[in-house]
Formats: sequence, structure tokens, C-alpha cells
Amino acid sequence: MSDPLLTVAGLEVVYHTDAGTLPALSDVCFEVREGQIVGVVGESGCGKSTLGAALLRLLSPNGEIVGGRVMFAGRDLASLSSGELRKVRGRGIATVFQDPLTSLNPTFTVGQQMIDAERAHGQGRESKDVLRRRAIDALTRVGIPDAARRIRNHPHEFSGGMRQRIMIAIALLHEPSLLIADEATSALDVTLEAQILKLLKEINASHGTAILLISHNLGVIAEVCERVVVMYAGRAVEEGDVYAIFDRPLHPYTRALLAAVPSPQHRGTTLAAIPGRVPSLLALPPGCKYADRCAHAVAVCFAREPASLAREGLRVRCFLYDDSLPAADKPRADWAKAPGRA
Amino acid sequence: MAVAARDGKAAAVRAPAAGGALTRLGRLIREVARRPAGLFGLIVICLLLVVVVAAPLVAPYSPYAQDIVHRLQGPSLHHLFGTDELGRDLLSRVIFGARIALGVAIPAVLIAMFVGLLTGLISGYLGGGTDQVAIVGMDAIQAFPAVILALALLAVLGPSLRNVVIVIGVALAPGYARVVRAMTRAAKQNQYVEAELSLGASTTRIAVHHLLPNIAAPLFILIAMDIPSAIAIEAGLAFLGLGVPPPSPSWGALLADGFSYVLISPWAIIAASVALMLTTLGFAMLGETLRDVLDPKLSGTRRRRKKR
Amino acid sequence: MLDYALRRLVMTFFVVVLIMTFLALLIQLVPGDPVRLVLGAKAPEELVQSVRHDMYLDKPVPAQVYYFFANALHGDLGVDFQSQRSVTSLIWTALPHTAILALASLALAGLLGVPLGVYAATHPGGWLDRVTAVATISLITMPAYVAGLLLLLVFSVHWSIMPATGTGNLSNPADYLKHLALPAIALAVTWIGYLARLVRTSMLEVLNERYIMAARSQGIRDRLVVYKYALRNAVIPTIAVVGVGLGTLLGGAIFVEVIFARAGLGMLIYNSIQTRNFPIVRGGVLVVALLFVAVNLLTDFVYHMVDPRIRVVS
Repeated sequence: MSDPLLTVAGLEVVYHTDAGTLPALSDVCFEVREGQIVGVVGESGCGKSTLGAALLRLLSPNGEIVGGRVMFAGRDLASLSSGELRKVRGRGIATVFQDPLTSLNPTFTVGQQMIDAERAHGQGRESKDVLRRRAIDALTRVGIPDAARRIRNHPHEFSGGMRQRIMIAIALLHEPSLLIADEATSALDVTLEAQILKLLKEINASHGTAILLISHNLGVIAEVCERVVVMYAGRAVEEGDVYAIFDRPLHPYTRALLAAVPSPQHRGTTLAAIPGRVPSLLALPPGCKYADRCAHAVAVCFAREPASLAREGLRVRCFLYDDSLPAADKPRADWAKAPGRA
Repeated sequence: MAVAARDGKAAAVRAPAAGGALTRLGRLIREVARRPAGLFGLIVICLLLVVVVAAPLVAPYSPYAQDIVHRLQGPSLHHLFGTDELGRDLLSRVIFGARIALGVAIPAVLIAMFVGLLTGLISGYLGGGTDQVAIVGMDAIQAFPAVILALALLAVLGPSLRNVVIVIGVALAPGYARVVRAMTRAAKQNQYVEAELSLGASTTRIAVHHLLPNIAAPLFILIAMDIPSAIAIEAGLAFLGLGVPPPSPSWGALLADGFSYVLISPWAIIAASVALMLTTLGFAMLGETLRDVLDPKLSGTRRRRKKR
Repeated sequence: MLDYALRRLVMTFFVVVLIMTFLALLIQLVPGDPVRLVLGAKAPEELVQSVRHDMYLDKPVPAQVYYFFANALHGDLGVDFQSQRSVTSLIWTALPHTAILALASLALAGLLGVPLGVYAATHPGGWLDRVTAVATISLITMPAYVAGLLLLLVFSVHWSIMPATGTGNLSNPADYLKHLALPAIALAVTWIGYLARLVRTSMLEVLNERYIMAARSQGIRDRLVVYKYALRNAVIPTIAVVGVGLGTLLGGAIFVEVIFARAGLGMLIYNSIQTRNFPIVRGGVLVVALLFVAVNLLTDFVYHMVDPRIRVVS
């Protein structure tokens, strides 16, 4: 088995604010293999968008990577020089963001922006016509009709769905091996979302591009991804094959998450919401961050953080599966107590 | 997802302002003083007020006392800022000049505020033709640079303390009128106001209850920013010979006298310049801090540089 | 867009009418006889009546206003009290110098202020940012005459390296520039501070936008991102402000021209006030106001053209 395309090991990211230093990501580990589609799922504020930005060091000025490594093609992106990093951005790894209206510069035409993106990694000698041709082709391939004419339009003259296609076209210009889709469909309605997801799957199939799909929508993850990373309060609490996790989730949070998705089968029963709320990053409790909402929590859960353990082909961060603990201290897997249906 | 999602990022929670107007003022002053710029501004203003009120006590000489023998001297033990062309002590003239500066600026700004408030309220509330006429009027006044408008009016009316105050007030009024008009129009469409009107509340109650508290903040800021403008305009007018008539020691007059004798002695200019700059800087910093405190928008500070 | 343009033009028309009416009526405010005031108590009665007639002062007030409008539309702003010279020609001779002064100071302010603002925005919290913040407020609040006088003191009196007075001749560019330097710097001083802060605030907002992050993620060079993408968007609100700032500039110009004895519209107005030569004052102030209105209108339209979003929405 060859080396994974992307290996994130122990990534730690903080934000410096007036109110203090927020630990946005803590000890995040996962990997993406060539051609794989990996999902990152969690509620808002769990750190998944921070993760998407941190991989290419695109954090806002008050964000900082304080630990860990991001290995891509044998190099640690977290410690690369800015010059070297710039060569990876858009060429090795490309990103598609959530809201295409704000991801495109409103004062430039689409064509100009695409040409600039092409020039970013060009040999510098290509004529504008060649670049224009390539841009038109890229747009046509993602399904923009009449691309030759529309390339002269400004972003606000396109619909939301088309803008997202443009973003994907730009992302694919240099044939990256990894595409990060950060909530790429969250601003679109269901039909458009389905189209974009289909497009992403096609790209994965035809180009072999690996995809890191970041979303809060479990349905999207289930439909597209092979593996998934579940995040909570800046930590990866469960990671593994998507079928395995959806079929038999190990972490109590994942269970509650899946149970909380309303479905027609449970018509007539109460909606299962998880009691309590996500802890504020300014006042994180010691120990497991999910403990105060977990039905199985015992003393050790509040005392220290569980390490990430391998179990049944998945990785899970929970004392339930920590066999090093004496039986008396270990939490019990009494799923009947857990919120929602098992 | 039906899970209760809560933003993990910190949210700055502001406790609702409790207590009467005086405690709120006290709290405001404390907030302003916390910031170095605001503190500087407050100190300058306090200093200015002291100087203005206690001028005869603070000034070592009378600003009109001439001493031709010792004219156009530089700073010395007897005359900390030196003397002007008639031997008058510059420090004392600067101190009494503060009286003129504030004595013109404060009434002028108050006039501007009241006229602007009324115009803005009426124009914003009535809308339609009255509003259009008011806008044309405001645009017309603001089409002139303030100094030019003041010059034109004073050239015909003749310079006097009263005229200078009125003229500056007129020039500054549209600024207030616009702000008040905008807020009145916004309040008119406010749903709270509609609801109250439908319940039979009187217009006065609405004006007092909804409008005034919202207006207070931007008006305060505008006043803090306009006082240095008014001071600068008055000094400018005095420099051109159209300010409060001599021998009043307006800072602008000091500049004009110094200008006549610039080749011989720079001290009048330096003294008046320092006074003007300090005063305008102090008020400007206060205004900036007030704006930060009362309406924090993007200030972009406190961000650490990171390797991109 | 057209609808907006039309409304703006109509409003502007009414504003101009109001301005001209105000100026036409201004002379009525003079206590006493304005002509006598200038010519003196000893002037012969026929001369006084003749000048009054030229000024239309012997006609009813509404007629005076009418004549003022009618003549102004022909470019005739009257003749001055003392030597019967055409006001329009006097203004025409003086205006270019003021215009050059204004443009020079704007250019200076732009050249220094914009890069300063960009640098402060791209290095927030750095020492230059902090120094700039304080320096710019001091510069902004400094009145033009203070700047002018201090510059005069330092460079013309103390160090004698720059000419203190005069305008120089346009036919001798080097000399003209020498005489232009200090006055232009004096006016630019306020502006540098203002522009720097505006650009900084604007840039900071823009740099936080998603499309900047997206451009970076595409691997576009940082310098390109800042100067091409960010600056273009940040400049837009700056344009809107330039129009308003011109008013302050014109107001400051009068001081600077007086201090440096520089020929121009401001100097003309000032001298005329001293000599109570009212028609020149009236004509000069009118030209200043009209210039201001015109520039504002222009910047408003440019602003709307440059920002394609607003173009569509309007």
C-alpha cells in the first residue's frame, strides 16, 4: 500500500482574540489516499472550516498553526516557506469554498480571474489567447453553457449554482491531486446541491482527484464519501469507513448525531436532540469535551481527555473503548440510556 | 440537524445599560478613559476648560498689556512663550485665545445642532416635498467650503463675535440635519414604531422614546468632531482678518500677527500653532474614541502577524 | 442607472439655482450702501450712481436676481467696483493656478497616502501601523494655514531653501514648480492622513473578504492579490470621498495662497474682501461652489460606474 496523499498528524490551531486564545483544533489526525473521497462532518463551530483553511495556511490573520504536521507529497505544508506553499496552492491542492458569491471578486470578469489563476502556476510564456481558450474549455467541462461569451461576464451575472461550477472549474485548472470542498454546497438548494455533488463524483471518477468534503450535512457525506472524520469542539472524535460508521457508530456523539436526523420511519416520535450545548472555546472543560452531554460519562471522562484509539477498523476518541482502564472506572455502553434511538 | 448548535467562538456579551442617564454618562467616560487616545482627549479638554474658566488666574499677564521695549522676544523666564510685536506676553494671549476658541466653537456647534436637529426631524418625518426642499438646502450650504461660506457672509455682514458664531453654525448645521433625517426616516419604518402607533402612542412619545436614545450617540460623536472644526474655522477667519475683531487674542489673530513679522520672530506662530494643534488633536481623539466605544465597527487592530 | 443619473441632475440643478439666488441676494445684506462703502464718502454722486446702475442695484430685488442669472449664463459675472474690469476675466486668469495647486496636492497626497494605507493594512499592528495611526490623526486635524505657516517658517525663513512668495511663471516650469512645492505640500498634509486612513480601513475590510482568501488558495502571488484584487475593491469607497475632500481642499487653498502670496482664486477673493470689491467676491465664491458641485457629481458617477454591482442595482 503506497503512502497516503495527505496525512494530517496532531494538527493544533489557535485563534488569538481580544478575549483570549481559542484552541480551534486539537490533535487532529487523519489521512486521505489518492483518489479517495473523505468527509469531515460536525456542527458549526466544531472546527471543520478551520481545518479546511489550515491545510493550506489560509487562516485569518489571528489564526496560527501551533503544532502538528500536514504531510502532502512528502513535505510538511505547515512549515513550508511561503514561496513553496504558494506553488502547492491551486496546483497540488485546490479549494472550493462555501459561498461562491463572495469567493469571486465582484469587480473583475470571470475570464480575468480564471486567467490570473492559470498564470499563477504558468510558465509565464503563454499567450492570453491560449489561456482564454483553456478557461473556456474548463467552464464548458463543468457544464457552463455558452462559455465563450459568458467568460466576459461579472460574477453577479451568474446564478449561484453556476458560480459554484465556475469555482470548481478554477480549482481544476491545474489538475490538483486533492480538492478541498469546504461546505461547497451549503449555500445551494437541494437540486443544485445534487448537481454539484454529481459533478464532484464525476471529477473523482474521471480525473482520480481525491476530495476532502467538509460539511455539516450528514446526508451529503453519506452520499459521496468513502471515509469520514467526525469532529466535535476541535477534535476528531471518530474516523473511519463511512458505511461502518453510519451502520454502527462507536462514539456517543456520532450516535446522537445520526439519531437526531429526522427520518420518516420515526414518524410520530419525539425529535431526538442532544441535551446541552457545545462548550465555548474560551472555557473548555478539562477531560472529554463531550462529557457534559454524554449519557455514559463517568468520573474519568471529566478528568482527562481520551486518546484516539483504534477499534473495529475505526479510530475513536472515547473512554468506552479504552481497555487500559480498570473495569470499575470505565464507562458502560448502555445504549438504552443514550439520546434517541440506538 | 436537530441538534442544538451553538457557535463555539466567544461572543462578547454586553450587559444592558442599567441605571439613569448620569450613571450611563459616568460609564461612558470610564470607557473612553480606558483607551489611551480617549484619555489624551479627555485630559486636553479638561486642561482647556481649566484654562478657559480660570484664564485671569492662570495667565501671568494681561493679554493686552503692551511692553514695546521687550517686543518680539523669544521664550524666556519672564515670558514663557515670548512676546509679540507690541510686547504682549504670548502665553497670556494664547490662554485668553482659548476663551475665544471655545467661546465661538461651542455656541456655534450648539446652534448647528439645534437647527440641524429640527430640520432633520421635520424633514425626515414629513418626507415628500418638504424633505426635497430641505435636501436641496442642505446640499446648497454644503456646496461651499465652510471657510468660503463664512467669508462670503462675513464680508457683507461685517465681522463680530455674534456674526462669526452664527455663520459657523449655519455652515455646520447640514451635517446634523442629515444624520437626524436619516435616523428619523429609519425610525418611521421601524416595526416597533408601527406597532406603537397602531396602539395609539403619540408622536412625541415615539420621538422621545425611540428616536432620542438612538440619536444621542451619533450626535455626540458629531459634536466632538465638529468642535475642532469650528475652532479651526474661527482661527482661519481670524487669520484672514474676518474673525472676532482685534485686539481679541484669537489664535488666528496671533497667527496673522506672527505672519506679518515672520522674518523677525517665529514665536507667535509657534505658540498659536501648538495651541491649535493640541486642541484639535485632543478633540479629534476624543471623537475617535467615542466612535469606537459607541459604535464599534471594523478597526482592524490587535491582529498578530502570521506567516502566510 | 439612467433613472438615478436623471434624478441626480435635477437635484443638482435646483441646488445650483439656490446657490446663485443666495449669492445674488447677498449684497442686500450689506448694512448701508455697498457702493459708497467702496468708493468712499468723497466720491462724486454721478460715479456712485453709475456704478449702482452697472450693478443693477437701482432695480427691484427680483430683477437683480434675474439679471444675475441671465448674465451668468452668458459668462458675465459683472465688473468690479473699482476698475470696471470683467470679473469673469479676473477669475479666468486666477483659476488655473488654484487648479494646479489642487491637483498637485491631491497627487502628492495620493502618492504618499495610498501606499501608506496599503502598508498599514497589510501589516496590521506593526510599528508602522501604529505610528501611522497617530501621525495621520495629527495630520488630519492640522488646519491648512498651520501647515502652511510652519512650512514657511522652516523651509523659507529658517533654512531659506524654498521661495516664500510668488507664483512664478508657467512659461518657466522649473521656477513654477519651485513656487508650487510648499503650498502643495501644505495642502497635501491634511490629505495624506485622511487618504492613508481611508485606504487602510477599506483594505482591511477587503482583505478579509472571501474572494481574497479564494485567490490565495489558487496560488496567486501575494503581491498580485493585494495590489490588483484588494486595492481595486478598496479604492472604490475612496473615490466617493475625494469629491467631498475637494471642498476642504478649496477652502484650504485660500489660506495657502495668502500665506505664500500665490496667485489664484483664493488670493483673488481675499484681496477683494479687503478692498470690499464685492462683485469679485461674489463671482469667485460662485465659481468655487460650482466647481465643488461639478466635482461631486463627477465622482458620484465615476463611483457608480466603477463598481459594477451598484451599476446593476441602480
